[in-house]
Amino acid sequence: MGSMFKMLSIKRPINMLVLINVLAFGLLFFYRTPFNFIVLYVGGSILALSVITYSIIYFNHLGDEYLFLIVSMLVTLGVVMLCRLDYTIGIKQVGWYLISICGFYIAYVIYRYISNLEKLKWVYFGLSIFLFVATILFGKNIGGAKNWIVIAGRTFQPSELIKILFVMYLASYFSGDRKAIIFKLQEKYLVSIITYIYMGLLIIQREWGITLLFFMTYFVLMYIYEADWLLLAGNAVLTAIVVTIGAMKLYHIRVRITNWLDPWSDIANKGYQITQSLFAIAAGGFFGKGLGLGSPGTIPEVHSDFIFSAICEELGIFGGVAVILLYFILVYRGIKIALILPNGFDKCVALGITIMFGLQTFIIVGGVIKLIPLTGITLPFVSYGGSSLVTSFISLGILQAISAKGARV
Amino acid sequence: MAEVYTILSSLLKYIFITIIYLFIFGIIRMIFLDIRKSEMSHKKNELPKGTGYLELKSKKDSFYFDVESVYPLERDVIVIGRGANCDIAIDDLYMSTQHAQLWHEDNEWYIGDMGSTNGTYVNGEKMNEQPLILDNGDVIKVGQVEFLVVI
Amino acid sequence: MTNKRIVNILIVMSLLFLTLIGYLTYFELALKDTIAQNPFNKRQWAYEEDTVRGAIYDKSGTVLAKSDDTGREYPYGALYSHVIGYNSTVYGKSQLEFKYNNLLLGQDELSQAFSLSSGKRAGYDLTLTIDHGLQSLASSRLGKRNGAVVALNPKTGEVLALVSKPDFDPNSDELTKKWADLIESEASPLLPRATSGLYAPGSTFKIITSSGAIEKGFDGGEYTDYGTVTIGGKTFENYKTKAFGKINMERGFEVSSNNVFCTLGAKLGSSELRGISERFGFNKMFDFDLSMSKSRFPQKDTDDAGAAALGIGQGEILATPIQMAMVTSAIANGGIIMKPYLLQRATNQNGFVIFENKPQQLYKALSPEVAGRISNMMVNTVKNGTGAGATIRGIQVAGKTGTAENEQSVKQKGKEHVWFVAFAPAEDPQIAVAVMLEYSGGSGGELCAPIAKELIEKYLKK
Repeated sequence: MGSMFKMLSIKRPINMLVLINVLAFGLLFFYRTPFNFIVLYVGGSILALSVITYSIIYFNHLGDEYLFLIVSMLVTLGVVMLCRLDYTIGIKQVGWYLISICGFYIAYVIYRYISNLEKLKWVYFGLSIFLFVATILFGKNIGGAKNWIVIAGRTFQPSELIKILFVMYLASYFSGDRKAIIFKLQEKYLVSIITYIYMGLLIIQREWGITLLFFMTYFVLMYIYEADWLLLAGNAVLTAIVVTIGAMKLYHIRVRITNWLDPWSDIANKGYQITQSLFAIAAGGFFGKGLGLGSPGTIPEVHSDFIFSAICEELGIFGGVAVILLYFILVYRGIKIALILPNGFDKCVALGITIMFGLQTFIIVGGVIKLIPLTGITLPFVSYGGSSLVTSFISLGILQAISAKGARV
Repeated sequence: MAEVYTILSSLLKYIFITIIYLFIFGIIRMIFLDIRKSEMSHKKNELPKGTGYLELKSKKDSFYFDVESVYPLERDVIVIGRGANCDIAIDDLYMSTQHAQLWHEDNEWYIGDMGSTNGTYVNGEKMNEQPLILDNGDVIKVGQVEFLVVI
Repeated sequence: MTNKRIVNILIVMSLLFLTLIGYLTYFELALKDTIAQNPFNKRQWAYEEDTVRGAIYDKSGTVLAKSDDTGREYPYGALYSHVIGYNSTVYGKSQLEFKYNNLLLGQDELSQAFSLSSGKRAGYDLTLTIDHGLQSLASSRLGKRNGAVVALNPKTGEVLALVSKPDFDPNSDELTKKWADLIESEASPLLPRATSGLYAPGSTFKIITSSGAIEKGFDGGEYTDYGTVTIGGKTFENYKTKAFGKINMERGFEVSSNNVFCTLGAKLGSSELRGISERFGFNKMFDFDLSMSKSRFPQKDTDDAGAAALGIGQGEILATPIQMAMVTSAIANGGIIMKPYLLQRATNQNGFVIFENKPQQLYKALSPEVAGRISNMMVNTVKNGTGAGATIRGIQVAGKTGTAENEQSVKQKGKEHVWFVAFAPAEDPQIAVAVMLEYSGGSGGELCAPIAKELIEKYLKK
């Protein structure tokens, strides 16, 4: 009898996940008349998928149990918010969640059981270039950036996939024999050049956020692995110069910077998005206005890039801080997984994935609260978007597989 | 109806925040416990070869008192009990001040009950005044605490 | 070695996340209110629809702004356009309507927690320190001329009148109709000159120069004034190049001699003059009910010629009319400047006082002795000097005139800014005023002193 009460303890995070799922979707049921049963189905599906996957991981000792637990809370909060905004989008996100979990398992199995992944360096490179070219040639322009490909009526962003390939490429390099000379260049210079090529291609597609993400990830991995301080410093200086020139010359960058510093002067047009985001955050107070009681609909892109602002409006600053803490714990676990591994491919992949998650979160949250200029990237696991969700779960699956491999040591 | 929803949502927002933070703290707590457990198992691995030890079988966090996961059997005579001067001192109310004694003689480990109120159990059976020889893999229970004997 | 770097990265990540959390907290604690009240924030509209906005009264209860079903009404139109401001769904809010928006909507923390009552919420009513009769008179006496009038109670800091011209009708319909003109007009009617306009104070600055002279012991000299003086290569002339012969500092003050005060200015030096001005509030900001410009005394030191110009309130000195009213009230109040304030109290619909403002000391500019001497000089200025236009039978008025050169007056005659500052009664001051006419020409004594006189008379003879 005692042990059953222990199972229901509030100290067990999984119970809290269940509780919030039940209460939040239960509340949303009453949000509008007529009462919306679909919301209950959505909640139930999320709960089922999360609990089942968590149990599979936990009871089969498939590696770190915290990664998925944290992510499922993030996904739940995201879907709650999306259902509140528009339940049809909530349904779609559940669909993507299902697909993502499949992706998660597939990535786990592939990464765990297939060896020699570190030898596929040029495959990763080739695939990335292929995707870039495909996007440039066949891509559709949606929302001002030509970075979507349409396959069978569904849009997806190849740049998300390239993120993973980039990490794998860098990991192959850093864990391999770095003394190779290719095209008469030491490989480390080649890697820099390739990174800049990637960034250039992204810039052509106007993907500022992902460009920033790529560069920072490359820089951090280089800091961790590269013994050549000169190369590191050289890269930093070069980028600083290019960015400053870009900021002064390129209209797009200038606009973003002025809009960051003073969105109020063009509040009706360029500054509209960020100022509406700030109004929403200002309206929330510490505990928020309450689910369904705010006005997040005034923010453009509130389903994707600005979902954090909607969370701050309805769940308050405490809600926003909680989300940030969840990402922080995720990053902590990822780094811990990497730390105990011996030097090698896995270690680097784990680092790359974790760092990307962390930086991506910082960049988008910082952007919507106006700490740094706004860039168009998603909040992983929370924002609406199939490409983002699926690739995030694939990355998570790889991280999970690495944690499982490490635990056997 | 809209007003009922407003009241519900305004109240629930505090509950939601509480739940999310309980979730976060629950995870942090679990992580800490894991760290402690791995430190314990490191300690276990640091014992000199050939030393026996008692390994905690019961779940540590099911007790209100502190108890270690591993007690090395480093002396020839070891007293288990609630008293502070016992070699293995455990603040379990179901344990007597001097509950049981383990000693090493002729290459064997013996266990004897020291007249405890609630008794000492070896492999599920309550001991009488006769001391017993312990084998590797035996399970002893003193008070509420169960140990695996590894020697 | 690599692992150590990884740990460093973890630390960096932690700092990044901490910064996010810190900024969010800072946002909530410091930035939120200003941001929330932006007119583009649709959330406020809904809240405001549900609230009867509080009324605004002068000190005796005259209604200056009120709300009913048809909207926000300003019975006195343009008279309070620069004090109360406007409350427009299109153009947002200004002045007191902006600063005290929270109070007018009854939106403090307590009422926020439970907002479930039925029917319309009532905001808080504001009672100002303004004396409507005085405000009216000041506005009508300025007439169609551009300038400002500020009247303070030197003992408490209450703002009795605050008029800026040109003004405009803040009632919604008029405002929307005339907005384009208001924005584009060269006369800048939307500029609240009394608090934000910056002008060279001219001879009214001699109050500060003579304070310095007294403190430094330069007040005893004898001067030979034939209408001009040359210092450091520059020549300064008296008003209309009038000559006064052999005079001391006191007489120089009464007739507003540039000869005397250029000499004193050069003797004291720009650094000393800056120090004293800053004691009076130049180069400083304080928390006022309306936004203000900071009055400036140049930060860079100058040579003798420069200091001479500073001594007579020219050079690069710029003062707001309210700053000069504060300088005057220092003399009236034994050297102490009380903090000016407009909001006396906020009350809820049941008359319960939510907030009551109390007089506060702001700056200690001079010792009572020095203030007393300046006070005497100002009394004599009205009795025997340039301030005769402010004489009132039976009341001792203390005053100082000022005529200031500006960027237009150096090219064209008759464009000087003219000032008159005064307080009364000199032995127990109840009111301090500053009157300024922009680009007006003429003299402070002729044009501004009579306005000050009427205001003082009206206020004291109640």
